[in-house]
Amino acid sequence: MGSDLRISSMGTRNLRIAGLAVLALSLLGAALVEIVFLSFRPLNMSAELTAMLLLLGAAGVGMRLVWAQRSHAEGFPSLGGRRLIDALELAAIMVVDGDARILYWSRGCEELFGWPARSAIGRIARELLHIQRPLNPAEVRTLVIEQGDYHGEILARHRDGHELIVQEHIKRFTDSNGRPRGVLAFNDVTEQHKAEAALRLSEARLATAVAVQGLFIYEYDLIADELIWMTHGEPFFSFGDNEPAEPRWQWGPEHSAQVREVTAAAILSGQDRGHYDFEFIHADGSERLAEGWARVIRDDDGKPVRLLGTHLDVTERRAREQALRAGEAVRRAILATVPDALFVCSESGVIRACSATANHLLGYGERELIGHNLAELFEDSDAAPHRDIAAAVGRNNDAPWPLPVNVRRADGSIVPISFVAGHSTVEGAPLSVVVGRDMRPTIAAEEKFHRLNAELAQVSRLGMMGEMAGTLAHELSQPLAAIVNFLGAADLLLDKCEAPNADRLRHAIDGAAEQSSRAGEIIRRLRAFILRGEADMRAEPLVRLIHEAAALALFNARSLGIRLSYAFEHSDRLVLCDRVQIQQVLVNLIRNGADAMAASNSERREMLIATQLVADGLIEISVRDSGPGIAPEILERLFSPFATTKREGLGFGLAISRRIVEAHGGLLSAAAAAPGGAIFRFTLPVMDEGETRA
Amino acid sequence: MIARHVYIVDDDDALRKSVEVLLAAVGGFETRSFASGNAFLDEVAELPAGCVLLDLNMPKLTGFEVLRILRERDVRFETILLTGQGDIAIAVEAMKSGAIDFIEKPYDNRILLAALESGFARVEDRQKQASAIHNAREQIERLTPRERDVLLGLIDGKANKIIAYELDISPRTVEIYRANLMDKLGVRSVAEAVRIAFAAELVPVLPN
Repeated sequence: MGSDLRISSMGTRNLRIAGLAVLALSLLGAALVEIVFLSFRPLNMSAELTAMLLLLGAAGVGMRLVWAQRSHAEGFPSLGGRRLIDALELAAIMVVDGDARILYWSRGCEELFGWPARSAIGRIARELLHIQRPLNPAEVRTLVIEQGDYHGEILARHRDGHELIVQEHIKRFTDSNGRPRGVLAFNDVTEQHKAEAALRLSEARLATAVAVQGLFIYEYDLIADELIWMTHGEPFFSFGDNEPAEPRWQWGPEHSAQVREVTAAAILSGQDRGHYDFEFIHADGSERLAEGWARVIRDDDGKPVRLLGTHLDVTERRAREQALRAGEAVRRAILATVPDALFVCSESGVIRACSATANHLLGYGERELIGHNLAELFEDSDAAPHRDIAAAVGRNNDAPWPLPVNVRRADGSIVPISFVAGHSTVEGAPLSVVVGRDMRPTIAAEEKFHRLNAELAQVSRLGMMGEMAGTLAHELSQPLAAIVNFLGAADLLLDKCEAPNADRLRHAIDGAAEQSSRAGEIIRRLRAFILRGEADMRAEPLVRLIHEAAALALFNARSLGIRLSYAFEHSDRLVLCDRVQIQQVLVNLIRNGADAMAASNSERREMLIATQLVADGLIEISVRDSGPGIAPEILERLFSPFATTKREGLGFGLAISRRIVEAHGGLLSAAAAAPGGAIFRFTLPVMDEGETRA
Repeated sequence: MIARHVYIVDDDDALRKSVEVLLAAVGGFETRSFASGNAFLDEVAELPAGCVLLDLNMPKLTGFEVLRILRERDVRFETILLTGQGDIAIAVEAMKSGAIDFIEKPYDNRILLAALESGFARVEDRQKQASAIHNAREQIERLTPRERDVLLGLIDGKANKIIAYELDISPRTVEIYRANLMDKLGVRSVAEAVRIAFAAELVPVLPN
């Protein structure tokens, strides 16, 4: 029973009190017997009384005596000692004759069994109390006669019908008349049995709980330095059915040292609780991790006497915690490094977490945005797109993504951000993940693209006008020159013949010649006007220039599916040119190639732009396509204005390109490429290293 | 007067015709027209020396290309480039490639005629020079080997006696040869004889 009660410190304390009470009452009972013997033997005590007293002392009955509630002992008139009678009256004692008929019925019996003395006396005790013994009455009688006494537990019935478990002590004696008598003393142990049963149940429950939890509980005697009790350790130490009879410690010396440390710390600090982690090898060979808690129990002087401790296997729990921490670390790493502004929002748009880029982009400190609503950041939270995104954050998945929104930074400036939101549910709570991308670089790139395009368009227009004017000048200059020649001849012939109105004729001819020259002059001035001082010659990085031109040229649907590759002889080559004009040439050549490949519907659509150093500080840039190539009859007049194979083209592109290249001191040529397609080449002057640095 | 040969190379029929008419009106020119550079180059070897009026902007061979080929093959021609669209870059290129002039169409007749004038001056200079060399060579050819040896001695500025010693003849004989060669060359002084010898490229102008 003692070990049962040691399962908790509280139980231990109660146990101690109970134990002390038992001890005290036993001592009291013994003292009482001494008193009786010392005080009453010389007073010719009756044999009954003596037997009862002996019985009482031997059994240690009297646990239940409450001295203060008893003051007299009626129905026991033959006894002289009032105090003694009072004491005996309180015990449940009866005296029976040889037929087990009740002769005496104490107050204690009245209380225990509910029958008053007057109803009990004269009755057969067995019948009155419905006594059930493990032995039948005859056997009991025999035992009592042979041994003189009998001890046992019986079941008896109270007057009101409920059953009692009672400890019975029977002693046989002979009265003064020589008749056999028996004295029976009863001790009610019903409550004790109930408590024991409850305790057994409780312990069973605890054992189950301990087994389920994998909990190990032990008690350690600090004074004897030995383990005095422990729960079954199978879930913990995996003893299984072969639990050793001798409790043995499964932890290593390291852990023993930990336990000692806990104890030492407790003793030093006066703190009674300690906590420690330790590792152990499970019976299955695996390394396990456990947490231990211990409590020091002190005696009344405050000296630590015992240690109550528990061990819990936390291997799996620690692993889960580790995984959780790792997941959290990954999440933090994502938020710290994702290059977009990322917000994790509640359903209503309240920011729970955001990426470092979000803080940086919006100019906020690390945790400043948390707890704010995303919509608060929008420049004008009433504007339609902002409502859209606010609604979208609130789980409206029909919103058109991405949504462009102007967002106000911490310093008040506005950033255009393109938002995309996604929804998720985390542990039952809806969450929105909103990703915002800074649109400034994109806008800048688009602006640059448009500017380049506009520049090219301007140059293209000017080039086309110049080319038209040039063509016009050439085509008109021929007939004009012829007119002037003819007029000159007429003038000369007029000198030689005797015409009557020679002077007036000469005047008319001179006038015509003059106007012809004027017409020529007008054309010259037109050309000069269009071609005047356009070239802006600078050192330009050739590779970048080509990349930009290719991006501009292939920025249309017809260029889809073209495999463009480059072969640069050097990545840092500088050329001396007017960037816009040379890009105009490149765009022309690249678009021509792309258009030719698109028109031919050929499967293989490849374009190669290559550079190659040729003699005399010139670099040759070539654009090769895999289109149908150039027909020989076209090749002849390829660079003349109005020479085109394209329905919508004017045929100026190559004429202008050649003019530009020639103005740069280079040559533009076309040829058939192997295995098919066309290759256009042009040259540009290279800036050498020295010039580059200057 | 020597006929002045003008070759008109232009793809424009009307222009060719107008130049022919103009030059006929001026008089003194022999004109021939070619519709392309190739047509002209095919015949150039048989043509008498003269001036070429060459259009720059022609299909196939351009004026520059024709000029380059012409100068490789024959140096007897002076070329005037004509263009409908002139600019400084083309003018510079024209001069570099050896044209004597570059005229933008339409032009004043007088400019064309002046250009032709200077062209023919150069042609005729070259012809005179060529005939002078030709004459000198003929004259030198008429000398006997001994007379030529004496002439070489005179060119080196040697005295009669030295020449006689080197040729192993008497000074008197040297005198006779000298008189004969002067007579044959039709000169009265040694200096004149030396000039003919240089013109005939008998000796290099500069000593080795």
